Amino acid sequence: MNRFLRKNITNFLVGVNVFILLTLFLTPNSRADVMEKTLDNGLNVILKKDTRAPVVTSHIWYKIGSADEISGKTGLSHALEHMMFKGTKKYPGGVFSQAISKLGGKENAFTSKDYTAYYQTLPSQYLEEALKFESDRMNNLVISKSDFLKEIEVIKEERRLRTDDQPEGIAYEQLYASAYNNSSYHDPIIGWMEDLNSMTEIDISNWYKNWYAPNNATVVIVGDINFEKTMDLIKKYYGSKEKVKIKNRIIRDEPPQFGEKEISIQIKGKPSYIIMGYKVPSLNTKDVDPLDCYALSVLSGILSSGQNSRLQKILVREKKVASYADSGYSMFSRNDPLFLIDINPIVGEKIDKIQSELQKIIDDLKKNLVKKSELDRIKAQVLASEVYQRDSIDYQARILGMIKTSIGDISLIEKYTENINKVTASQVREVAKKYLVFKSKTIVTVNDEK
Amino acid sequence: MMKSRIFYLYKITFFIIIMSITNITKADVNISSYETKNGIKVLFFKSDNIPMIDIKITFDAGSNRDGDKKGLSMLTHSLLDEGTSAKKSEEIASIFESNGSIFNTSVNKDRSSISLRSLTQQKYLNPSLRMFLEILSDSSFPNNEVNLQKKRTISTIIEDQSDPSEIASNLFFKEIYGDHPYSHPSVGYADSVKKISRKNIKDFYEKNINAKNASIAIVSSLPKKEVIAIAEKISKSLDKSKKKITINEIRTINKKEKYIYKNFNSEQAHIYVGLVSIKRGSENHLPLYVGNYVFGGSGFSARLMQELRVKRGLTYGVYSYVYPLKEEGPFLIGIETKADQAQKSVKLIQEMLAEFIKEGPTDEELKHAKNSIINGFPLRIDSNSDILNYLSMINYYNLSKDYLKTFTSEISKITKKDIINAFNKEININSLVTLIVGNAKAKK
Repeated sequence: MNRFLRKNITNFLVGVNVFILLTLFLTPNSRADVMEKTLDNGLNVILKKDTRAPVVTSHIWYKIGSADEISGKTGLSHALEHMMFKGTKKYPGGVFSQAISKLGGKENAFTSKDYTAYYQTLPSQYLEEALKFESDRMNNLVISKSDFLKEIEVIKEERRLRTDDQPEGIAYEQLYASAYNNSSYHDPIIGWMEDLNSMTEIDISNWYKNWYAPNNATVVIVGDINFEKTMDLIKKYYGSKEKVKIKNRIIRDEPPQFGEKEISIQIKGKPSYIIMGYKVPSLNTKDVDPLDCYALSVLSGILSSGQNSRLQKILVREKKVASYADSGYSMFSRNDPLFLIDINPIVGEKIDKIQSELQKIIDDLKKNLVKKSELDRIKAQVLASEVYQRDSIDYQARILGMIKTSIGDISLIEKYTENINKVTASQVREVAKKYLVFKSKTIVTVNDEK
Repeated sequence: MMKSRIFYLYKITFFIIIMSITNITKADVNISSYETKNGIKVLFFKSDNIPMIDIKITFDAGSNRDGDKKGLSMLTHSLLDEGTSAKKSEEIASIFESNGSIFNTSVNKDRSSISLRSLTQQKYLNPSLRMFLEILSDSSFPNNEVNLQKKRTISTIIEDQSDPSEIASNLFFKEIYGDHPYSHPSVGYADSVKKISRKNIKDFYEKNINAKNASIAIVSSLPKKEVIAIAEKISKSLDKSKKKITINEIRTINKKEKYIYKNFNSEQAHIYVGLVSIKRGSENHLPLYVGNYVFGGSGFSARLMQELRVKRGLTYGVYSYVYPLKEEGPFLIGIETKADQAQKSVKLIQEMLAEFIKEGPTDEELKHAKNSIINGFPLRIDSNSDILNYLSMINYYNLSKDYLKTFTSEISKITKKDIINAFNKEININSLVTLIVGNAKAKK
């Protein structure tokens, strides 16, 4: 997809933007459609009925991500995710993947700072097959040295593709590494290349034993299912798994920041780019009114959702200095996240000029109340996306899995719209004043090498 | 492409499976077809559970109609919602946004589309639909908006020139298509976009965004009667010109073996191997589709992924696809790998392809692929947006409904011999174009 078309797809629901949108728009679950249970061994189970098509998506979410890693051992969660496709004693090599493929299913996995998730989407009559394999690899994975040595090369290729050859990828990585001194959000999900070079299969194996257990996981199944039968299947395959003592998570609290951090990256022959972040709270942050998070979410919408949003209107249309501008915030982070803004300048425009225009936009939000029409726009979009999101079972499962894993309480989804609707113009101004400040700001600029 | 980066997750696989087969199985009992008074074909699927409507109008107006103004179709489409005689750009955006509806356009080599997603409640749908119709009949392309959009487009094109994957794919299509209108990227070139005038855009709009050139696909919970009324309104707003569309002449494409290396300072080399292959409607389409599924079109289970990624750790992603177009579309294999592994990878890919053309899939592989395609059928039509895209495709390529109903049985009939014959006929190993973009270590 060319960026050019983004103008038309900054609206929600387009695949590439899925995770930006998560920050803003959620589908409430009517209680009758959702069932939540915890097995005796601690496994969380969330089932959601959607009978539009004879299809089901089966997810498992582990509460383990790069946020749980330590210096020198970054990238373990993601590398383990790759190794999870290498087979078990019972189902060696690619048996699992081949079976899902033969049934006409799709499968994949993803790792974030906060979690690692695996899923299969397939015709609903084959759900049991997916559960059979997925439950088996929760504790029977075979991690061999020869597989690891090949797979780590694949991961390095992935890193080259996504980060090392991409100025925007480098800038993103540098933003987090610079913004956070101690918080493990400092480190990239994929890991530093240096750590990938020193990683061993033993590291992976230890990581697996520490974190992959029923009491650190949530199974989410959405689709054409019968609750009772599905619960029986889950008990059949997961019920006998033993609880594991999960070691204490290392809490790496972030110390205060003393002023704005500015990082300038020079890469020969690359277009300029700006990405910045303010440290802000999430719903997990202690001693913060959760309404602040909802107000920050609305603030992000004011800045970047739709053509009449501030960044679009001012930087792209009026000042004509940016070809694209975006913002994002996820209140469902385990640790304090960044409120992000990123800008692709029009080629040839001065970075300084764009920064000062951007600062004016931020200052205005701190000084003046946003218009009623702006708030109404966000609310209309939230309302509509509640409906539109029902069109994807995978999306529904992702929201449930993410919120359960990161925050622990899926009833937040039901209250989401209500809370967004409560946000007032003065609250938006208050959170802008409180959080979009120099002392929590980090900005990374990419410039052509001098 | 890049914009999702700030929230991306790392995914283990790299699925690029371009669906080149249209499937509506049992679901098609619910598809109704209709023709509007001025002759636009409409396909409608009633999807009861969600109170929303998706409308997609498809035009025979992709970038192959750009002529010498490369980028014209895309520029025109991107400007559609930037002004009408009565409304400015921000008023238009405000109407869609404040009603929670989504206006969208897309352009590929053959087709373009204009679409609207809205809630079905009248208070949201009515204003959104009125705005949508106004754009169809009366988009005005104000000068300042044209200039801004050109500037942004050119900026993006220049940026892309520093991205090895963009460079490689643009160059590859140029090499396989030569002078053919499929050769240029839909977004155009910086020089060509610079030369596009407002008049060019207006002319393109008049001539192409037109009832004579359109088909309509709708998926909604609304009753058929209301959908027909909407289709008639759309049809009327498109009835603005009687100009006849000129049919593109059939061009011959020169297929010749080539090896191209372009130096670029990146850690990975971006590689394409392929050639121009079949048209949509070709009798070899299904055999090629099934064969390619085994070879490189089914993600992890495909041979390419197994050999290059799983067994050798050479790459994060390798894939192949057959993409039939109105005229001959490409067959291609794509991979990224560390520069010093480029030659090794190319050699391996070429050997694997030669072997596949000669021997086809094993019996086991063929059985697996057929099972996978047939069993996976419901997944391809499990959302309104999937169905919408299929309806649009059926309309555009005049695919017969019977053909769709029999799709699974057609797949099940395909034999190893069909696949070998189709690969031999349509993928000539001696006409392959191989392109490598990467640093000096990637060179022969």
